[in-house]
Amino acid sequence: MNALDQDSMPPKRSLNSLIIHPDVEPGVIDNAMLIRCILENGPTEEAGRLFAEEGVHLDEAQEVRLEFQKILRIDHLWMLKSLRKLTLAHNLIEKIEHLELLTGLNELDLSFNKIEMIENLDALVNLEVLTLFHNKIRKLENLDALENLLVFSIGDNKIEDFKEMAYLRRFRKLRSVSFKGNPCCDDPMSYQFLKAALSRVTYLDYKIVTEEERENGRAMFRGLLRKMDEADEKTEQERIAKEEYDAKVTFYAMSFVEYLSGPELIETMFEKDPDGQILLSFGGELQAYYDQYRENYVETMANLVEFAQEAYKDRQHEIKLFKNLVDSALDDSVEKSKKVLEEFQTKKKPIMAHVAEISNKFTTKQISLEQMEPMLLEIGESYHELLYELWKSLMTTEMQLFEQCEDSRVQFSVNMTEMVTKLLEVSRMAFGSWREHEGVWSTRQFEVLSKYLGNKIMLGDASPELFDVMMDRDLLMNLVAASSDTHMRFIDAREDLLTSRANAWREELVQGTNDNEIKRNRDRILEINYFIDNQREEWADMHMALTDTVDPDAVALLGEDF
Amino acid sequence: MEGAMPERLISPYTAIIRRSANPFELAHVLVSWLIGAGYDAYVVVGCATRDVCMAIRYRTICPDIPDENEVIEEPPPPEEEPRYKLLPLPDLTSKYCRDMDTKEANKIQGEKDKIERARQKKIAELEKPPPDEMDGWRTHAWILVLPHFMGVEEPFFIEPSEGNGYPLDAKQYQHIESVYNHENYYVNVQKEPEESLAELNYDLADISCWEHLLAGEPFYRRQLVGIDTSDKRTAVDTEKHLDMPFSWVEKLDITGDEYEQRYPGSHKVIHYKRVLLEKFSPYSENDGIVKRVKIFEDYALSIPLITYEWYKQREDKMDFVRLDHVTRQVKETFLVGRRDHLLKHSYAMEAPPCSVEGDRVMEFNYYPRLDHLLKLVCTPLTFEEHYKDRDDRLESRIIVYTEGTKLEPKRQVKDITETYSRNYDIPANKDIWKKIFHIQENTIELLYQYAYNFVTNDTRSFIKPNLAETGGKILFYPDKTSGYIADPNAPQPRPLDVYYALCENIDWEYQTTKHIRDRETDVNSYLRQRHRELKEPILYVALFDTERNEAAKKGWTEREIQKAEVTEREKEAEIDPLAPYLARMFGSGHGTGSQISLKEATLIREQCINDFKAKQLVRQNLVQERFDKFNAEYKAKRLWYLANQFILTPEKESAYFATSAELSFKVHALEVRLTRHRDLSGPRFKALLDYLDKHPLLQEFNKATYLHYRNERDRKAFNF
Repeated sequence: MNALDQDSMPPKRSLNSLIIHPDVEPGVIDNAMLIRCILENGPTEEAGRLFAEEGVHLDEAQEVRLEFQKILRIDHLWMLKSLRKLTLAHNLIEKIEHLELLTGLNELDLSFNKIEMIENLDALVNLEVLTLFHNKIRKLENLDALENLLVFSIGDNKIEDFKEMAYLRRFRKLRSVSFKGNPCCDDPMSYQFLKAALSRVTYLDYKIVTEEERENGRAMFRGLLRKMDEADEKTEQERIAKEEYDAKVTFYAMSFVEYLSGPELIETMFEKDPDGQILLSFGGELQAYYDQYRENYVETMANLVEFAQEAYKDRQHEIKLFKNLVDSALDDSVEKSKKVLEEFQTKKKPIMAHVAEISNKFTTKQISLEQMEPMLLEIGESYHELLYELWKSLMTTEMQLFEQCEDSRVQFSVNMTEMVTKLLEVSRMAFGSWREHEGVWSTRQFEVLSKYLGNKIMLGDASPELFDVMMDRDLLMNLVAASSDTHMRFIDAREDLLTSRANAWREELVQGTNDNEIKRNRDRILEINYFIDNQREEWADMHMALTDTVDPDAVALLGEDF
Repeated sequence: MEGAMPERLISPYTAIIRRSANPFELAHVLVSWLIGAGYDAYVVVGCATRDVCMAIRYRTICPDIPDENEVIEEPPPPEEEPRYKLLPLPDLTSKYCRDMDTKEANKIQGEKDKIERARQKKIAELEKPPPDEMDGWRTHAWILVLPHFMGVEEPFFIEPSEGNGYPLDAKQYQHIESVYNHENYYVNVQKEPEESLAELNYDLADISCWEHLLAGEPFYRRQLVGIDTSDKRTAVDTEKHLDMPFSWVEKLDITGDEYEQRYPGSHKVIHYKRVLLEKFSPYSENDGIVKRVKIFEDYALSIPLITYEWYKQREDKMDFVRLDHVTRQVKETFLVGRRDHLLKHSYAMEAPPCSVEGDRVMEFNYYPRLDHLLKLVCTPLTFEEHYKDRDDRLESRIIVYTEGTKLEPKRQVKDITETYSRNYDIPANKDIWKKIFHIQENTIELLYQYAYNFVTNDTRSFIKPNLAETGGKILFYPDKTSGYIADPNAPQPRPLDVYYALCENIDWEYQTTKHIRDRETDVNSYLRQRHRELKEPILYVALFDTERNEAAKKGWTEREIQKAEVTEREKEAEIDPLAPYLARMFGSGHGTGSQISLKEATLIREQCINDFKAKQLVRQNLVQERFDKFNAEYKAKRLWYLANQFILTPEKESAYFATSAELSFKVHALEVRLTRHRDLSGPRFKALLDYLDKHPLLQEFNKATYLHYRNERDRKAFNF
């Protein structure tokens, strides 16, 4: 394959690869290659030494350049979790693949390869720069997910029809496109078209597009452009409508009443109920009742939604109040502890100075080791006393904080439960009245339909299904009952959803608050003890360094003083 | 003389010119201004204490002493009762002990208060004015302002000699004999008040309390009861009484300039209790001082305590200076707008004037400064810079110096501490809180920010490598660095990161030391500048000061002259109907130039007259045409109306009347214009001919015509 490639390559390019890496065998990306590459691109000199000594952390590499390596397939890259810039230019890659896990990728360079198709890029949503220069791409496709695309290079490919480039109109942030070297570039129209169609692109082939040029293009392709603009506008509007709708749903979901405002849900309910639909197709009188039913439903649910919104606000307020209290208490406690630590540091200083003095005397032979030992022990005792005081004070502050907040936490959980219960009560009432409306609807439906039961003349233009039903009393009754049943089940499901979600939310909030507090408390205690241990260790190290002889008794004494 | 009734009074106008007067005359001046401004003010004649009558102020407290207590604003209480409260900590102290302690403290405090009270009493006793045998008999004049005008709600007094307001119960005024203003004179017939003048009734309309010199009340206070004003006789009778004579005094006027020069000799000194107040007119002193308050410790004004000085119009924007003679501190306050954005500068009087090595604090207006410097604090051995809102989050830089030795007389940098604020975008263990450079020990200490819920922070210290040994390269030795990681679960930092931190901070230390040197030079040069500003003060003249702004004044006069010249020229150059023809023939600008030949003159004259005629004709035709058109329309409308008037709906009819009224108006207007045009076109043509005959440029032509005309006439005469 290699030989074949070499032969088919244009002479310029084979020369290039010969010069840079003449003896590299074509292959797949592997670990060793990655490590070598990262080391090569890493820091130099002293920093480089440290970098190499530590070993390469593949998951921390931000940038990888694998050029002129005769790579045949992309692989092994999933280790590079924090990769932002990947350069695979001047290789023999034929297929874009195995890039799904590099979601943080910002820049991808695949130029001078043998890629024939754009694919498997859907996961790279953060991609801003994509370079596919000098490949064998015929069609622009599978790029829809790259919403952040800023710079795109598709020059020197095999794109035959310049209209293909209209695909790029969907990238709202695209600013620079390079296109030169495609077969269709010979057509003078192609640039005219590009300049006019890609109205957001500022640079085409790295040259700024003037308004005049754009205007020329526009004049030439007026009809086509208008059609495209219209289509774009339509999709744009749909997109905005969808976004708005989704935002609304998420907004209402926070108060657990998503889809409940407006007649949306009841329509869904009828859509999911084929029996009901057959009956409803009777129209006329029935339709009026249906409208009334719908109206009643909307009114009931509007009340519920309003209440839920209020309840949501109240809950948020409650959470804020509680958080404020806890946060300020924590701040106070942290401040207090910091002050205690500061005091400790100021007290520690003279002790350390004293030790330094003694050690100085010892080194200048003013006192002997035997004389120094008791002095040091004495200082050590006072130092440990100080440490113990520090520990006590810090722990007391923390315990006080924990206990002080406990009461509020219980109160908070009670209040939250109360609020959620109230919401659920209101929702139960609302759903109850929905059920009532449903019952009324069902009765009326039956009444209306039974009036016309078997009346062939009146049912002249009814659909065959409806006609069949209307001819048979039992069938009609069954159908009405089945429809009502489906509806009831639907209502139950929605109510269950609301109840369970609200309860789950409350559970999570209360539990989460408690868990967080407990974790915080444990972290703090761990931190305090770690600090104290560290201080002790420091003393022990110093003591040992001074006396030079390891006195097991002394160490034991110092270590397990209390 | 004070305390007795004056023999004669000078008019307010004279008093203003003389800038000195007795209390009566001063009261007249002030009441005149107050009434002019719309207040209901009166001159009060009565008795007052000796200090007031004789304007003795050395027993009163100076009202001009600035209040130095800073106003502390308390945060507003939270709007709603907090629903969550912290459990209070158990109180384990003994109540009994606490009670005993407070008892003891109260006792001590009570004793102290007693001593203090006794002391105050003694001081008050000593400061009391000596007994006055004429007390209660000294005549004085002051001012009473009554309510219901200009937002005054309560009657009050004004002392004319100082201009301060006093409540009615002020002890200094003892007795009121009468009050008067330009409208009436009221004599007080009320019982002598027991406590203060506040007991008196100040409703001047109450005849049982105030006897009127002239019958009748001023208009605004009049309540006509039982009088029929519509009856002419009664109305006249009501007004039939004597009025106050009209003022014969020159109209009072004080110009801005005069107001500034209100102190006799541009300078006034008032002696208050232990205070000497000096006031100056603006620009009267070289250094621009306008007011000085000097506080002394003793009554004889020999030991100064504090001096306050206020300045105006200084080029260096110095506004206020406070000199403390006890602590030997000077505090200067500046207005905004200085080049270096200095706002406050306080320093010891003994500090070397041009060196950073003295005790001084400088506060800056940080916002317009590029380096956002807020404050500089200098002492002999430290130097502090405080910043605010900097992009790099630097908050302060504190430099500690070692004292100069004999070998090295200049002080040396010992430690530099830089403090940064928390950057919440990066984790606390990467965010540096303090950088401490121990320059002389050759070490660098880094303290990182505290993370959430942490009471200890990461630290890292380096012993700087000897760059001379490694040839400028920074090498990393693990034993020359140590650190503490606050989070027990966090991994140890990587050597590479530690190495980078070291490189960065070695570089930063270099930058910082350089910065400090620059800053010291800056401050020194700034101090020299300040010294110069103090030694040779310059006063500026405001742009809008019409009196003193010489340059602007000159500009104004020049502009006035220019304007006058322009109007003059405009007057000369009347509209020349020949100008466009001259311009067409000789190019524009040919106005008063040389004469033109006879042929040209004939041509021009011909053109001018023809054009005039044509123009007149066109105008006439135009008006005529319009007139015809509207007239025809009007007539057609009228015919239509006459034909249809009985079948028209009221709306259509009213619409017809509206349009026909409009049309008839237009027709009429056009008719008038037409007649006017016809009447005027003859005289206009004549006027043009006259003008052309006298036109200086057409002299040649005119002469020729004149000769020709005379010849013709002569010939005719001859012929006859």
